[in-house]
Amino acid sequence: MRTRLFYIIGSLATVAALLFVSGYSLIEVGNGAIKGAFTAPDAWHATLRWSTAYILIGAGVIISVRAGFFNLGAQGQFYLGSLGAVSVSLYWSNGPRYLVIAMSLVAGIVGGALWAYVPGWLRVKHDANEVITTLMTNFLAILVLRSLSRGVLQDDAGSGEASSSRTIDPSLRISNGSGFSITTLAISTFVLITLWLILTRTRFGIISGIVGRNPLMARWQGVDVGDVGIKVFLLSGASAGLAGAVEVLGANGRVSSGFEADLGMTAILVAIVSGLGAIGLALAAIFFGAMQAALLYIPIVSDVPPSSLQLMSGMIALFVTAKFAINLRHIRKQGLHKSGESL
Amino acid sequence: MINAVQTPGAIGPGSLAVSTENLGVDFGNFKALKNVSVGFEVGKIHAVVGQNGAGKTTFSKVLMGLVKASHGSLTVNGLHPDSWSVRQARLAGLDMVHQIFTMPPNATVAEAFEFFQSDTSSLLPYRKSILNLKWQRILAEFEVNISPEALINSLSIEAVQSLEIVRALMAKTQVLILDEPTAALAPPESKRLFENLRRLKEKGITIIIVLHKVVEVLEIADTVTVLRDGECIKSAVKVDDFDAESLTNEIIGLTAVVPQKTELVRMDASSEVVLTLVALSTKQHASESALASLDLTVRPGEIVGIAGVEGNGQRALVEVIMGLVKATSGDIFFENSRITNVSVRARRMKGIRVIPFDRLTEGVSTTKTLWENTAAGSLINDKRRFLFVSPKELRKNSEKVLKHWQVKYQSLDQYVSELSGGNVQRLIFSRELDSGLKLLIAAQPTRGLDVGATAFVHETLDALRNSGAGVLLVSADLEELFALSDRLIVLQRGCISGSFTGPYDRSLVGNAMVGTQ
Repeated sequence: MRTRLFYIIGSLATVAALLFVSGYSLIEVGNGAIKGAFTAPDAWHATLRWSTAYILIGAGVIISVRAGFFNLGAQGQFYLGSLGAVSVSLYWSNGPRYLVIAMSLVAGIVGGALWAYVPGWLRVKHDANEVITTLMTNFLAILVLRSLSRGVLQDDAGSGEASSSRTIDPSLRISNGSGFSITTLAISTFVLITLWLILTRTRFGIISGIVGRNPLMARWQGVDVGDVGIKVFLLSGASAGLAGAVEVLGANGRVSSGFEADLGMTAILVAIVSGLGAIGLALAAIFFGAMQAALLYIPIVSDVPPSSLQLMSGMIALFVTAKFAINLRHIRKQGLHKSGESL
Repeated sequence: MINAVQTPGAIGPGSLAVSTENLGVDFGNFKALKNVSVGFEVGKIHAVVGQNGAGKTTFSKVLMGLVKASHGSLTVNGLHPDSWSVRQARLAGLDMVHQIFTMPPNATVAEAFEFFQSDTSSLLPYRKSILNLKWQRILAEFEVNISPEALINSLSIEAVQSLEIVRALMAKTQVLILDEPTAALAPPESKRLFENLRRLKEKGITIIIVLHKVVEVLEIADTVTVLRDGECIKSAVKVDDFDAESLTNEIIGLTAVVPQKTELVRMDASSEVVLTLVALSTKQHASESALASLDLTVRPGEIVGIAGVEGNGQRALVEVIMGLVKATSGDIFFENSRITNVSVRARRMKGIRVIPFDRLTEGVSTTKTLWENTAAGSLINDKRRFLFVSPKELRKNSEKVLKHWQVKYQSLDQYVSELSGGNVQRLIFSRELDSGLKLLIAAQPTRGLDVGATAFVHETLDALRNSGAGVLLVSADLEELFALSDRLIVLQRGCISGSFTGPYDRSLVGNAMVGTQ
């Protein structure tokens, strides 16, 4: 915890130094960031809007990484979830409102889970490295999204060039364009509590934590490690898919080629910074959510390039993954498992 | 304090290769070594013995410069260095063979030596054939008969160890330190190692060897140094002054009672059978013999010992009974029900428990807490599959069994990596020996344990047998097998090469282990 805090403070200090050297006013930038994230009107909404997405995706990442399966496919699972949700909302728009919303969420969950099942199955049955397969399924998902949003889902009202889908019926939206509402807040709270329960109060959570540290010992104890692997892939895909559905029903109202392209990777970073726990996830998601909100606000009040704040999350990622990789090597040295991880 | 040991002008027989004066090592408040003063004469084999945690490994690491002494002084070849590091130790002609080997597993022997042990740049192009020839010649010089083309991970422990010794000797080493080299070797392998060490001694090399077993000390060593709780009880005393009993007394401070099975309480032939293997075979793996049509029964209330040179199918036997590997043909029955194809979990639920070969990787998860490691068994194999569990209750149960099995720990949230070997084994026993146990597979349960912990394991196995459970004891220690087994079965190349009942004849059993069938 203390080291993670140190990374964040270290990254802040480095970015501040860079800005200072480049001749920007730190006070101006700091003010802009705090305004954008917390004090400006509706700034909290913007912060929580991003936090929600990070929590939904991050919860699944935590479950899989804790069990020793490094699922990097959040972005692709997110896209497939959004496609599932947008399909149900568009083609069943005349159904009972709450049922359609519920089924759209379910379709998102199923879409993400099925997309994650493929690398999970390859990993468990054929020992294919899940880091590679999940990254590759991300590229596939981008292509699937592009072809569908230019194809059957395309909005004919727009110019023929635009590759985005038709917008779903406003009555089906669970938030306005700001992406924040009581509903989205309730969904993220529900996911956080569920995550906490799974990790600390279920057999599956405790056992998958042991599998992540020492699958060999778990096997000798009678754990079907492959079964655990399939389950964590399904769960993490489901939570990323849910995030996709929430984006469609909430902030975006439709899908478009390459939308929210950084969300998956940022959420993975959030999950790792969280220390793989539910409370840590809430804190890290709010921090990164605030940064994202600030990032979008700063250009309004200052001429500081927004990429300087992106630089910061990049630096945190560097610090954290460096430590992560060292731990990983330590675990592998013990000769435990091809995908043993720890934080 | 200042170098009271003599500083001889010339190094030769009778002078001291390495000596220490009031050497101490503190880890925080813990004193791993206290005022150790000892001198090792040139050209002799010096054993360092003691229980687990007595400070043997720390002592050897101080000599090698891997651990800094907190106080005291070290004299090497009459010189008295101010600072001491691995580099300086190597320059002074010391080298060490560790318990854990350092050879890269995926390289060939020649590659391992060329790129990891010498100063050759790994960027320069090379020809495999030339490399192999070069190292074949060097290995031959050291009288090691291993192909330079063999992959390290395809070699036996014994072979890798002999390579490690070659590695240590290559740099004109004068003092060779070995940290528990026999811990992972079967008796015939240890014998061969000792022959090699004697040959090195004849060449004038000083050998400092950390050992566990009293018999091995008496067999190989010229002098013995006994450490107990970090204190030096005996300092390089001639081995001839001891017999097995008196040396054991020095090591543990009181006479250790090694249980001798004098009377055999055997079940009558009509009694039921808990485990039956029928013509069981497994798939061949690189370094280990597979089982070839093996028949075996274990009855309730008996300990069946499995002897054999390491790698003759012991691992395959344990893993196939537990369900960790599949049988290629044949059948396994447990209490008359066929379990050949059922999962590990199903077998455990029927009452099979196991003490795995390697307690730190197969037995526990070292980076998980004590309570999670203890609770794992019941969590995984509970017949009730409630979704939710109460960590509070799991912790309470863990505390209860850990107390009952006298595991020494500070907190339930401690990592298992902080426990000593004996305590880890106690933890594993506390988890495996629950009320559901009907058959225990104990694989090398005392390997690497000190005398006290070994006695604990022996008592536990014996008590288990007397309570009516079946025990299959796989061990490389013949004394242990003789003392505990009701029946003894010898494996050779995955087949039964001998079947004995007590009293056991060492030469007959030994012949079944290594003789021709």
